Amino acid sequence: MSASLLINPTAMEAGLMAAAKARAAGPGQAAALKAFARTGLPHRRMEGWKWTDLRQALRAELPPADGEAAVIAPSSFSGVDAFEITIMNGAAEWPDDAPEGLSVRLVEGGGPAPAVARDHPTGNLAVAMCDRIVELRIGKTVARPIHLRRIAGGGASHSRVAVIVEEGAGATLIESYDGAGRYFANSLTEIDLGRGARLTRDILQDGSDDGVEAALCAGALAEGAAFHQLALLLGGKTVRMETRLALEGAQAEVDFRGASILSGARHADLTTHVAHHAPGSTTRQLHKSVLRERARGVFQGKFLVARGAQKTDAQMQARALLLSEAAEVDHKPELEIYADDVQCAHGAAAGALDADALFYMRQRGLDEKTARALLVEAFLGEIFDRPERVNIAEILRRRMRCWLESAP
Amino acid sequence: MLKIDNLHVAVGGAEILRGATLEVPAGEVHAVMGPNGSGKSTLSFALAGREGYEVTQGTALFDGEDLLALDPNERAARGLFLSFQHPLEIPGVATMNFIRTALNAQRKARGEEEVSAADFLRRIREKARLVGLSDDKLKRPFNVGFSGGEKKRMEMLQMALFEPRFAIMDETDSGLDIDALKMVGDVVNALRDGRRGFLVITHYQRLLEHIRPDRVHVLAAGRIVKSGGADLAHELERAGYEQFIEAA
Repeated sequence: MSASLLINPTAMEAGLMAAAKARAAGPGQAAALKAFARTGLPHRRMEGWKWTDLRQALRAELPPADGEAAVIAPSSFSGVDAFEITIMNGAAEWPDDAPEGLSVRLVEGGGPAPAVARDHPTGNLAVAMCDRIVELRIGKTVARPIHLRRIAGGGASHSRVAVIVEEGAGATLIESYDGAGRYFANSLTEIDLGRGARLTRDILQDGSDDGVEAALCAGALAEGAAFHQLALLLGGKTVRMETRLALEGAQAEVDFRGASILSGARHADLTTHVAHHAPGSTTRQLHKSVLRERARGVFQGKFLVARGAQKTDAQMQARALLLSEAAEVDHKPELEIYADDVQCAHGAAAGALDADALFYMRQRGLDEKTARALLVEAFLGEIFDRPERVNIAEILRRRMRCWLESAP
Repeated sequence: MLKIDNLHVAVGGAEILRGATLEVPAGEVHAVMGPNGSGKSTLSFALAGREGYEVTQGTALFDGEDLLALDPNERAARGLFLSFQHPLEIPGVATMNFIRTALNAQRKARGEEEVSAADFLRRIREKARLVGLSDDKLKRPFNVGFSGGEKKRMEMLQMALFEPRFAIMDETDSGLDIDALKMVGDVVNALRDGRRGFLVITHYQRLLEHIRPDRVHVLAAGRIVKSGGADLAHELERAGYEQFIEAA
């Protein structure tokens, strides 16, 4: 197959490619750069990027970020006793008191893209741009949460993290994506869950109005592994939070819960792809969006069930609440099923606040803003009802309430 | 106390109330009866300030104040309560939290002190017993999974708790059994202290056995076409509304 090179790269794309080429890159990085050179930044005419056009968002060139980002407000998770790894514009730092069961190191020389992310434009870009991988190896269950605190500002940056959870071990990974001013933050997080391993991933994306974020998580699950993701997205200029999982072993378990709460002209795209390759796995997904002013929310979820993945049980639900006429949501739930003995379903719905409920509450004495906030919170509530992870769910709930209070 | 004069209300461009005139002095219970489609619910929604109920003419004064100029929550804070004909379920909204937030919002608007959590809990449990709702029902999301009768009891619970100065009861009796009707009567009668007013909208006179009205009005085709004493309810039960529909 002959691959054509990008004919008219934008200034940003040309800059990114020149920067990648200038590195003393290993074969994995060279291959990734070659792949990126064919596609460039993803744009609306590409499959899966119709509503999230990174090329357009990065029309004006951003220089590489140089170290320090602008001053960032304290992390929403500052009250959590977590082992914090800071990734400031791509540069990682962590204290040397890693909790028992966890080892952290920098793997020099990059390495090839993980299989799940090989044809992915921002995944390839991260591989091409990163000479180092921050590797988190979890040999036995780590009780203390691990906080990956990503901070971006003042330019373009790329980072690559690998999380390996060995057989039977487990960990909680908190990921915050903060940013200030104009930036492009591109990240690739690779997850490898061994047999019976468990990983909980709690995400708070809380960027700036002008921030562009492309976060790809690519994971593989062995038999009996469990992956739970809870994500709260506040969006930015253009934000893509994508998770692609390959369930390679049988009886794996995936649970995705997420909420996008967007205001102003913000955009956020939550995209997931779960490939069931082995029998008896379960995936549960619920995503809710609340959009006000001119905000735009995107949800794309796909379950692929291979021929051998009998007894797969996969359910997907996406719901959106549009609080203004100009807000927009795009839902794309997809099933692609090759096995015949499976239970798979998806549903998507979008609507406005219930006017009857609003009037009822106002008749009881609540002013309009309070009544609306209570109804929005009721809509989102189940996303944060995580009795097994009260602390973190409550932090996300508080952030959500802050957002509600900021309503005009 | 409540003075409605020549009230015209349109819903979706269609005029439903066509010059309703009615006065309920403090301390009195007035019943409004009338056939389907006569404008009874429109009257209650217009008085409560529901969007889409456009007042095209006339006035409604509450203690001399222009009720129609106020937001729904301001009307509630003045002490106007509407018991809904079809109370709705509000999934995800915790019952106690909602009612306490509403009660305190009303009190705050009136410059009264908020009710503490402990005090509120004591009061709401007492009212739940009064209207025949178990504590368990208070722990659910608002009205979710409730029967029609239980939803009406929840309306009465709120009425007993808020102690409104003026209550509009829109067909509170529909779907209620005899014991529940008696309970509704008990809630209303406990609030009748000579200073409050009530507008009881109903099809039947059976609720009026428990709440003896001072006046009965017949609403037909958007107007009050006849007013009388409590006996008028009996007469309507016997003779029907036909004569009034023709008259209107």
